Amino acid sequence: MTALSLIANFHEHSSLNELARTHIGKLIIWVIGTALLTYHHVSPLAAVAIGLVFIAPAFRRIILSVATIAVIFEYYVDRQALALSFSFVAPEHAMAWAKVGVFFTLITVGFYVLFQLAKRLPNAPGLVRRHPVLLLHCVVISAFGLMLVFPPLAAMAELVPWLIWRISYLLQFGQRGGAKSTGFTDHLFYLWPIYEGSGLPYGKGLDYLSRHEARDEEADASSRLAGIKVLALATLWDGTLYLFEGFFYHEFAADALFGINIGLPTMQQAIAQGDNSVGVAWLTVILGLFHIVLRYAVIGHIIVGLLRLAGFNIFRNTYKPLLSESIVDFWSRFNYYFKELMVEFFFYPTFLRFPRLHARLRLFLAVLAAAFVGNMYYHIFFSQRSLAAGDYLIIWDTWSPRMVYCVLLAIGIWISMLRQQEARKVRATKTTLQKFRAIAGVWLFYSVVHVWNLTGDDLTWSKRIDFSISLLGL
Amino acid sequence: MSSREQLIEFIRTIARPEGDVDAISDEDNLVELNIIDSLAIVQIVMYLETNHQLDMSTIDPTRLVTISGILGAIDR
Repeated sequence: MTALSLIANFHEHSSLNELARTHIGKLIIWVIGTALLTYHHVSPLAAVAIGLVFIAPAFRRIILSVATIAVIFEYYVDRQALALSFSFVAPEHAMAWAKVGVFFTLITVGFYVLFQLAKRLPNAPGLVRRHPVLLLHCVVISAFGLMLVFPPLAAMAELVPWLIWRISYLLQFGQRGGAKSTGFTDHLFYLWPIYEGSGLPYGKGLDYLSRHEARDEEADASSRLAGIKVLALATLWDGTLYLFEGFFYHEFAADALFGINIGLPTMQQAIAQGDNSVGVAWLTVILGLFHIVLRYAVIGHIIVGLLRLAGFNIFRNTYKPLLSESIVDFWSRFNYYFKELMVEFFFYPTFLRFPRLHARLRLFLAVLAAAFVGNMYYHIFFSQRSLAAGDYLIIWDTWSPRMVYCVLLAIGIWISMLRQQEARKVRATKTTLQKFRAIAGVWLFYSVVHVWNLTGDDLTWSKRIDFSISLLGL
Repeated sequence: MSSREQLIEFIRTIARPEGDVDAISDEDNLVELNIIDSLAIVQIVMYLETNHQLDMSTIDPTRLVTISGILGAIDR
């Protein structure tokens, strides 16, 4: 074993694992973990919760759920601009505090009702039992319609992209009969997780989390060490991102190390300004791929690191995507929990719905459902304010270019899957040159389609088309 | 050849090149051990439909990640 692999796999060393089980070992890990989480601006509540989980791992779900309640409260206090207010009873703040109380109660009661529903799903009436997730989404879409006629409801729209998929996992778990033997605190901590994040449910729901939950001291120590490892990697990638931006992009020239800055536009800027040389256009798309991979790696590693510290030794969200040798492999490694979401809620249901179709067509429909329909549907919820206000033109302007990205992605994944299936039948091994070519092909594909994945008011259809054509030197 | 042996032979054809199929036990999660990817489960679904005439509409595909899970579906 080389020195590098010894360092890279430090979390698997038996002597370190033994140390991590002792009080002093836990304290050291907590201090390092807290320092790393603080560096990444994670709420101090998370560090407190992790510390308590270290002391009483058997109660981790309850501890994390209590922390969740505190975070929900903090969220609304912040939204009502009361975070720094110490005059709790000041008359001018009474209405704001009343709103905090109402929202807080609605959310926690809402979660409890959904949990009770999930528990009872196996015995629910036919349609509810068979399609609980579909019904949930119908209710949410109908609620957006109601917001148009009753605007005060629009306040709830903010929560839709944040919660809808987490609740979907809860209902899916209930549909499988898993929720029957669980309590409310087994679910609360992932419905509103203590870390900052997007609407993407890292770690999915309880079904997945419990399969990766540490059951003994050794597994707990192993999970904590693995958490420190990914948090350290998050910090490393964050530093790399800082240097990367400072070196390449004009926009970040102030951050350049030793004042060296290449002065390139970011991909967004290159598309928006147009008139790029072929060389600059290609450089920006390739660098754009590296840029987004680094950004996703940092965010995903922070969240996975926190969950691992808490004893849930889950997969990384981003795992060496730039070494992928196929398009479908990149899709899996770049944003794992998003891919899993698309597969579980769109790919499998579509694939199972058409058993009599020709295998290739059936696979194409399933991939299209995941990479196009699911992908678009997921992102449109991030225009929740426009949905609530009925501003459908804004939604079209924001997301319609993404349709091109999603269609190209679906076709790419489908072809990649078919090729992979054929390759595995003959079990041919690739030469080093073939591997390099495959990796380069994956970079090329994702770099080029990424032109249609970016969002921005100034990135119109025509500018994206012009930029794509400029890549051909035309 | 038993159902299990046939299944192992089939998994060999869909496994990742680096996946060690001989080392797996019935309860091992094939996806988490990186033997197959989650998208390869569709090939397991097609295998069950074709070779065992199963109606997969009533089976949760996420349960088809272990040998015992797949054999359980066949037995059912």
